[in-house]
Amino acid sequence: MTPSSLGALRQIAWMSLRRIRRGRMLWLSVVVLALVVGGAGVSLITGRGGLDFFERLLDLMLRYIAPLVMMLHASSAVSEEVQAKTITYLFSRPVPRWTLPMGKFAGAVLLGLVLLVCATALLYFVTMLGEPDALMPEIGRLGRALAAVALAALAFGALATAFGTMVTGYSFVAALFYLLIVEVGLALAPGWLKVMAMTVHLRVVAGIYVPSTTLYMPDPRLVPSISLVVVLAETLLWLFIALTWVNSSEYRTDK
Amino acid sequence: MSEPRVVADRVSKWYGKVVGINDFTVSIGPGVTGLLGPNGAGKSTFIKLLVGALRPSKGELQVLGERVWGNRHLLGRIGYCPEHDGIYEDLTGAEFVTFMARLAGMSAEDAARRADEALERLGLAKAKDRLLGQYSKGMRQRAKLAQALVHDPELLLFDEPLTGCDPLARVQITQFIKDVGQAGKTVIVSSHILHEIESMTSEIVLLYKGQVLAEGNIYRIREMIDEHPHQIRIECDRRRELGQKLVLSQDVRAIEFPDEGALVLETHNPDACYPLIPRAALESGIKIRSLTSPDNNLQAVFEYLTRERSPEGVARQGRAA
Repeated sequence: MTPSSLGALRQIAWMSLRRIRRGRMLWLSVVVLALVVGGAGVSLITGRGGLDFFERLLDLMLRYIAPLVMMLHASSAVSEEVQAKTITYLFSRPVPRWTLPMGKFAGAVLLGLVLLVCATALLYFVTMLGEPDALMPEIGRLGRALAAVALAALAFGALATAFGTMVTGYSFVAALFYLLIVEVGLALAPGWLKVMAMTVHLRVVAGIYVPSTTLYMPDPRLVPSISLVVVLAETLLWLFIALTWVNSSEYRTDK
Repeated sequence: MSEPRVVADRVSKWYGKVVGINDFTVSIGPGVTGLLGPNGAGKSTFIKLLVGALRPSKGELQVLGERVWGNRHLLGRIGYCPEHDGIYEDLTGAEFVTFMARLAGMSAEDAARRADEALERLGLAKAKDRLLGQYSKGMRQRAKLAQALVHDPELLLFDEPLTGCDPLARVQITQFIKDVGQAGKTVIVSSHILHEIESMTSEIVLLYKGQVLAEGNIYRIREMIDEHPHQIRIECDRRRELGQKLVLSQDVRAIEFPDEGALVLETHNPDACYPLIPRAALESGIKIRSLTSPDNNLQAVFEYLTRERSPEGVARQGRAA
């Protein structure tokens, strides 16, 4: 008996989702997202709100909150199995090795999508209470924002899965380190260096990217369709790294 | 003789500079076979090679007539229970075993049914809906065995299955392994305790420092073990006086006084010596506090067997002849 690759993928994603649901990381993500939405609600009392405020908070979501949420769920992809030694069960079954990180990725992205899309939609409606007349006319902005957070779930989910596959100890710290040093650093870099940052392209897709001039170097002008392709390509690249790594590694559990 | 199910031909596995197993040649047929050796002998490494978790550094390894590494289809014919305690603590027993059955390619209905049967067979029917994190060590061990068995594999690999189990779980697991072997499956069980292996099978492979020291029927291996001088440690009063009496017997080869209040005698004929000791003590009015055989320690036997196989040991045997 040998399961189909798709069947194995589905089983691992199911198991991953079930474990996330019972773990603490889900609650941590909910608390982080609730703080952002709750903070927006509190700001309404002080007279802030409206479309500009939503876009500022969306910028925060795309730069930091979405990557953090995805890292909480996906950066333990293979590493938690190695740490708990449960990987020995999975690798003793007739399933392709790549189904492990892909299944974990699928589970984390599914959950991340639901959390981030719901939180972003809620954020829009809460902030627009400060500018109720613009709520429906500007609903198209919400559509682009939701597309951007969905892409963020995919892209950062893939990045975190790659780290969780390559680094078997402290994979969350390694992924966070990459995010804060490399990703944030690139996003703040002047000129064309910026185009290497995923968050820049996500902001282009969301329609909140405003080119300026840093260190006398003008930022590039980017179009959403190209940014969409770049983010998807980066997602595939990170997944390819994870799958190649898992296929060639022994993952010792007796150290 | 039936066809061997596992054939290792000069297999070696190195972890960098550390040797896991070295030039390992063995052939294992159906029924229960025990892998016996002290910690670090290479038992787990060999089992992990069999299940394809490790890639051999050298040599040929065939399981059920197929090569192992990278051959995922073969894994559907193998059930593996690892030695470690790692388990999905946040899944229930039923979820875990069903999940493992699904990964073996079973349909949802078959997986659920077979998982229930496997858990019931191992006495976990009542606990199947509890989280594995709430299971005792013995229950976890049985859940691990259930997942190995659930897809009805031809070859079962149990790595130290009795470690940490309470006496009741030991009896249940030992019986379970014997039953599976009698049902015609090929079962390979590892342990560092001779008594554990003896309770499951008479076919054993002796491992030491990554090499096969001996293989075959346990009685033949016991004979080999019995060929080497047997030591008896006696804790008593007036040990020198007792030693003087015992050394007169032709069955006593040597006597040592390793520490205060004890003497150790060496013999090739333990059956004759065991009645001799209390008789000698009784005649001299010496009180014996304890009588033990350090040779029951498997490590001592392994060290003796490897010493005899070393160039120095061969030379010694030549001189004796």
